[in-house]
Amino acid sequence: MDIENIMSLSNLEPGKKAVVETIIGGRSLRQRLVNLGMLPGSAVTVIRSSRLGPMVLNVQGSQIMIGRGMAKQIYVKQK
Amino acid sequence: MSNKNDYTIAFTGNPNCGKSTLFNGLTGAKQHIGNWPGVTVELVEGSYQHNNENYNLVDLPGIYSLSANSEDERVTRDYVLSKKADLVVNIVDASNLSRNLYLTFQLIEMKVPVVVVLNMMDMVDSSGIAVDIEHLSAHLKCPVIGVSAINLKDPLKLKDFISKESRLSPVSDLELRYPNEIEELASDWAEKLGSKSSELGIDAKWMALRLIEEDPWITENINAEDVLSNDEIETGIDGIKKILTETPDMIIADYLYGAVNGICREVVSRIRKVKPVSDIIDSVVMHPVLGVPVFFGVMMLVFFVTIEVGNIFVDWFDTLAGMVFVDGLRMLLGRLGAPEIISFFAADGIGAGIQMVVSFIPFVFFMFLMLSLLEDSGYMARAAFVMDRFMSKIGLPGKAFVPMIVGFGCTVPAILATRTLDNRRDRIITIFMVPMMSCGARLPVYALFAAAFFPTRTGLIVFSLYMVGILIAVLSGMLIKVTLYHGEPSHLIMELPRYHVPRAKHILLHTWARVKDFIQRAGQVIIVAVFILSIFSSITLSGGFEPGNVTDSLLAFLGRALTPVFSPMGIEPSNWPATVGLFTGLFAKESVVGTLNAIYSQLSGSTAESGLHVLTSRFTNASAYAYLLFVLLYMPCVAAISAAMKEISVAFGLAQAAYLCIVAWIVSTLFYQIVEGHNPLFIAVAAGMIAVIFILFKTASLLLYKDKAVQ
Repeated sequence: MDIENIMSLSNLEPGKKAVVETIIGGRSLRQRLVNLGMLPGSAVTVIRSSRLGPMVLNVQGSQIMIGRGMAKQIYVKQK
Repeated sequence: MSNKNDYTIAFTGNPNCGKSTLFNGLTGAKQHIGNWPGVTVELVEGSYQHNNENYNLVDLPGIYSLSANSEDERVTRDYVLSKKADLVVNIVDASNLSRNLYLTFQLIEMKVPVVVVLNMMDMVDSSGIAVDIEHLSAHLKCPVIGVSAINLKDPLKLKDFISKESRLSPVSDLELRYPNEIEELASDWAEKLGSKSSELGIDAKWMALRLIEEDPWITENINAEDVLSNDEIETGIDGIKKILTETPDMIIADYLYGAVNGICREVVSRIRKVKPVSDIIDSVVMHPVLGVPVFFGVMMLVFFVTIEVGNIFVDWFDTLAGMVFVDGLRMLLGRLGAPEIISFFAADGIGAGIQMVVSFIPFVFFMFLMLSLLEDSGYMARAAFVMDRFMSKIGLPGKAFVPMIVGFGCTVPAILATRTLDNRRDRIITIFMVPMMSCGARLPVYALFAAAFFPTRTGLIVFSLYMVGILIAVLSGMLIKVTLYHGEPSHLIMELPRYHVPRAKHILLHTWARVKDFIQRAGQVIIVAVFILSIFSSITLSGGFEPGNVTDSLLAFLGRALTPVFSPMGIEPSNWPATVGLFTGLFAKESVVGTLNAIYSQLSGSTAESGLHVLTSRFTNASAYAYLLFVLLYMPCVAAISAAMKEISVAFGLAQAAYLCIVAWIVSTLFYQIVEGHNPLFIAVAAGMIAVIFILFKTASLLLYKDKAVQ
């Protein structure tokens, strides 16, 4: 596995695409993400991200918002 | 099972899939709002007749999956499993098929009769994609119909579809394939669970799969029955984790999405690429800098319509209700020859209670109207985004800002507005903070005192009171966050719905149903409370009945008895009318002014105008400000407490009232003693009470977590 490209989702810049690698965190956090189509292997595109607030992502064809703290717990591989 | 001509239909689907609009299209105004037992989730029921048959519709909360992590998901799952519904209608947003079908697959797996309604077929056209309905139906092995919420013929088409399918009650025999390790374990466990599952009426394989996923509810139920031992379950799950190097719930989700995406590839075709308008608007309203003024602009509009426009109608409603239920009733009873005491309690007790409920209707109506406009247009999700970075400091989602703003107008609709929040924890903290946002009814009290004591700095004094309210609210929110809800961060995860033009019919039905619910539920409590207060204000200590003689009433007696409690904040024993004013303020905060006016003038035996001149002789500047601090913070009016009790629980309402009274006393006492009283004993007592509050919250949180650990 190419370790170099793995990064926290919160560091991904707007417009960039990535594939979810792992989600750190409890069962309930994981499942809430899965419900919106975000699970290891799914593709995400960052639509909006500012340093302080939450992020807007495109996942499975719809836009979802996630808090910054949560984005830090998701590791992605940049495309 | 239900009667042959009587069907129960459950509506399920993702949030924003247009479920409620279709529901409204079928039932019209024939709907009723309640609560699911034991939770704060709204239960919406409705009915309609079609071809001489009666259909009862249950609108289940909008959810993305049946993983049962939230109250909404648990309510839906339990309802579907209970088999109370003859047919489960799954509304699916056609323009976002893959995520919506995830829920469809989970419903099909439960082996209950499910049909799919593909909604927003019009959106599909505008977003440039097409869905092959027949093909989808063949893949899901269940009936599928396509409708559009804006096509007027579609409700009829949907009614025909529902009536046909409720008779057939089709159960899809679609079987999903999971990795062999999971399949083997599931069929082994399903066999062992056989008798238990038929007893509960739940599909055995579904139960086995949930067990593999370590679903807390199913796991608890199985253990209690000893069909499968704890060790057996643990060994099985560990085996899967080792071989597949991933937790079972993620593997199952992965396979579900695999199947869903496979179907989507076959039935969805992209005709042309369309750039959604949402993106352009979002670049402004969700901008890190520009988004904030846009948000405040929208909030000002919500506030203005709820409070200012509402106020115009409040006067009419109040006058009209007063004429009918108070004056009219009194006259009617007088004509009928009823004794004065009976006509007083009927008119000034119950009648005045009804009048109070009626006078809140415009506020509640306009607030729900504005909220459903915000929700329906899609802006609410953007507001949550913009405010998240500010509100997350006190552990609340961005959306919680909206009820707080409404709170500056009136606490009652603000408490009801917390229904837009997703979980109970957020609702409890927000309702706890809302009464500290100084409502419009407190303003006349501030204005009167500020004009009498601080004529040159009126604005500054009033502004400072609002700021103190906000400060205490933020501190209280933080106190709850670090004690009761320690370590439970509220994560923002939500879908960003597309904008659409708000639908008038949907919004009006939504609003009306909620106003009706307010009248029925909070109304009862308000009427009882007003009735009790009217007894206290009209019965004299000697047991006589003298309405209008507040000075000798039980209320005045209680006021005199309680005044020493307020002496640390500068109220002399001779100034007992100030205490009585606080009692009548419980009806409505502005009553404080009227009561002080009435008693002072009654005492000095002069006209009403001079009653207020007495004010300056009864208070010093410092004690006047301390009194205002108390009026700002002490328990909200009975209508607001009733609303909090109905929204959360009676115990919560009482605890909140007690907390507010104590905090009000502490703040006023500290202010008065530091500025004027200089009594170290009282300062120490107030400081000690702050410590006691903190210890109480800490103890409560320890008890709460001990309970959770036991579970």
